[in-house]
Amino acid sequence: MSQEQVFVQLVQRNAGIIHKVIQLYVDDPEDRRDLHQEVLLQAWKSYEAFKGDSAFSTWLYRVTLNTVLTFRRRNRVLTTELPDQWDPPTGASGHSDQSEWLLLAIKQLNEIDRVIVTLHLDGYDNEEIAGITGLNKNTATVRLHRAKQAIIQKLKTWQGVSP
Amino acid sequence: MDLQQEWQLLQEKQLSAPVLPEADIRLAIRKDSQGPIAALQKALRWRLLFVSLFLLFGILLTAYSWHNPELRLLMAVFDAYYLIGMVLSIRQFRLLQRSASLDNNLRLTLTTYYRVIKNAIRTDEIVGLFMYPIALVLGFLYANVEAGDTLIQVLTNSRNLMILLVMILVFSPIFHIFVRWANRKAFSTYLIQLKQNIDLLQ
Repeated sequence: MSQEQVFVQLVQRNAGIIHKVIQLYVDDPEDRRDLHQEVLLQAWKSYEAFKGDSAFSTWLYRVTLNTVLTFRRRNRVLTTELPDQWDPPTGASGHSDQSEWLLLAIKQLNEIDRVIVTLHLDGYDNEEIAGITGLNKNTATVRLHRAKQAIIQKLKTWQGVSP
Repeated sequence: MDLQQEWQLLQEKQLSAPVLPEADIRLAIRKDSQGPIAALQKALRWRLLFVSLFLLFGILLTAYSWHNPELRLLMAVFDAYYLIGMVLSIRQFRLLQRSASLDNNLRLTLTTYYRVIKNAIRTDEIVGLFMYPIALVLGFLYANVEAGDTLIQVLTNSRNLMILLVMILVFSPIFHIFVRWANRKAFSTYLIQLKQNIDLLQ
């Protein structure tokens, strides 16, 4: 099997990583399309250097994050606060949609805390998070704790105003 | 609320990827990059083309004016200047190529991009400040010497000196301001974005 064929199969198996990271960082549909292609291209360009020291999924996560955060995006996902009188989103049944809130809360973090939290939620331990971000382990741990607290606080506030 | 559980739900509902067709992947890996390094490389390719054309023109003109020592001197300055420009541009191109790797850690990647892009912009502005005005000045001197004056005569004529001064004082800032404006338009927000994230990773 050719190197390209192997790459294509690995990417197909891990396509969720690319899709997820782009959804978290980019709102503009055109940017999303461009970035999707750019991540695939950059992953292919770097694939030759991939030695298999880490899982392919971890390596792809790293390339995707690097590509997204070094791309010249037309519109970044803003991290500004929502207004005080903001109505939290509800699901189709009219009940509060907590996973939707989680997404909104994550998107309100700064871009680096967003990386740390999503890696954590995807099951990476603090050492792996430090390796991917370049932070030292202690700093990554402290940052993760603070970011999670910020998310929980936000969710509690929204739960308080939800129907 | 259990964050991990909600995250799983979120992934199933909103963040799960549609099937990625093999043809789309194969097409994407054959496209040109749209990243900032690729944009700078594209601009650099244009600069290299201009510098090469100027140099080729200079070499032809040097051969044509070989009989006149003054013209030969002017053309030697011109050729040397553009040769240095060409070597620097090739060096910068290779530097950009080397820094394009995206499988390092995030902090290293962002820092490298920030440094390399800032350097590329600074070089571009310096080149913009000198490349075109020097070509104009040397062209003006060449035309006068070719018309029969000696270099000393051209440089001691107050009218000529005035023209040269205007060329330097007007065209240099114009080219410089234009290049700065273009770079600022293309990269200032981007560099701020990089810097913010680098600071957050300290």
